[in-house]
Amino acid sequence: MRLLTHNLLICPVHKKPLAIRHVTSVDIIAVEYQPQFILRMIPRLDWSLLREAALAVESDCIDALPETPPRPQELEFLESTNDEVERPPVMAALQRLLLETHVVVGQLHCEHGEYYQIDEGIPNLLADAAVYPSEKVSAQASGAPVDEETAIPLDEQTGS
Amino acid sequence: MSLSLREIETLLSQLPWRQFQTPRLQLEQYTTPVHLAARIAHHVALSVPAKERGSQLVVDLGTGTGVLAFALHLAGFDHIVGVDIDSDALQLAKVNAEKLQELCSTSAERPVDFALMDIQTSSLALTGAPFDIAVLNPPFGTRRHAADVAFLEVACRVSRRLVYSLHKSTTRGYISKKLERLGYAARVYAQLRFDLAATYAFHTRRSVDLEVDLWQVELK
Ligand SMILES: [Zn+2]
Repeated sequence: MRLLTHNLLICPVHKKPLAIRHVTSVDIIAVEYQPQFILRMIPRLDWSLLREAALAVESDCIDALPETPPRPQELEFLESTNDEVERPPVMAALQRLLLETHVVVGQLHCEHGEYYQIDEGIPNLLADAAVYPSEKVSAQASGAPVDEETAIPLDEQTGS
Repeated sequence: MSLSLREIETLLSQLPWRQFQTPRLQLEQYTTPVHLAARIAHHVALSVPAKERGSQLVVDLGTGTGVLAFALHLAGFDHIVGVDIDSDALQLAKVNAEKLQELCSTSAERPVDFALMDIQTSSLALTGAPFDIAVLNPPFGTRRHAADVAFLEVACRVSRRLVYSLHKSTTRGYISKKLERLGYAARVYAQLRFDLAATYAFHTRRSVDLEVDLWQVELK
């Protein structure tokens, strides 16, 4: 699950944004720089949710994200005055976070208490798969094992 | 990447899970056969200028084993979310994704992001209208008559620009009236042939070709 996809998801029961928690595996997969796509997505993003997600996956990119979303016009200007080698830091951070950061194993927490499991990169947002706090122990016991080989240690994630 | 119809079809036909092997009749689930998926992707791609394709956010509702989603990727779309209610189908979609990358070195790694979700209005787990294009492969309404129209409404809600949806040609009048009542500008974009025999065991004795309409809804 890319962080872009995460930003579009809500709880199927309460229709609230979901906080990423207990991430045990993240993949960083570099893809072609796509400034036009990123610029189009900025107005659609829940910016504070993205910032929280960046913290949840312990990404260094958080330092390049302002508290409030940049205005696309500003970014477009930055983009047009730079060549690809010198990407504006915000754009580089958004490229990394939105398009290249995949949560492989973790949880999506709703403010109402229940959470939804992410396993093998697939978030399970079926209402009947919601785990309520009282069920936590049994849910963890039956959870899928973490695939150690695809897991990247958290401190190596931000290397390019 | 923007491949020709023939190239897309050739690649898709080499995927290990072209159809979901044990369809659950209750969900009327099937995976779009290769020839149909390639054609739908081709039609969708043609409606978006080539330089814009890479910056569209696309959702494949009812993606199954991902065949249509991968077809869209091969036709030039880079940002695709595939959702389905069946976790077994999505596991097979992941196997397909790995195979596709093996077959096609220019294909991006993990071109489709998958999520388990029920796309009925009450349990939809998507915010607002985040997508530019929604592609829908609904049940054909043979068992639950209004189901395909309900899914079509959801598709129109989550998309901003275009919706493509498959429906039996025999339901053309019904779909047309429904969409008109909902206030959407829609038209039959292409008529295609769907071979149900390949999916459902009880149809294997005779081939059941089905005429299907590829509907296009232009939003806004
Ligand atoms: Zn909730």
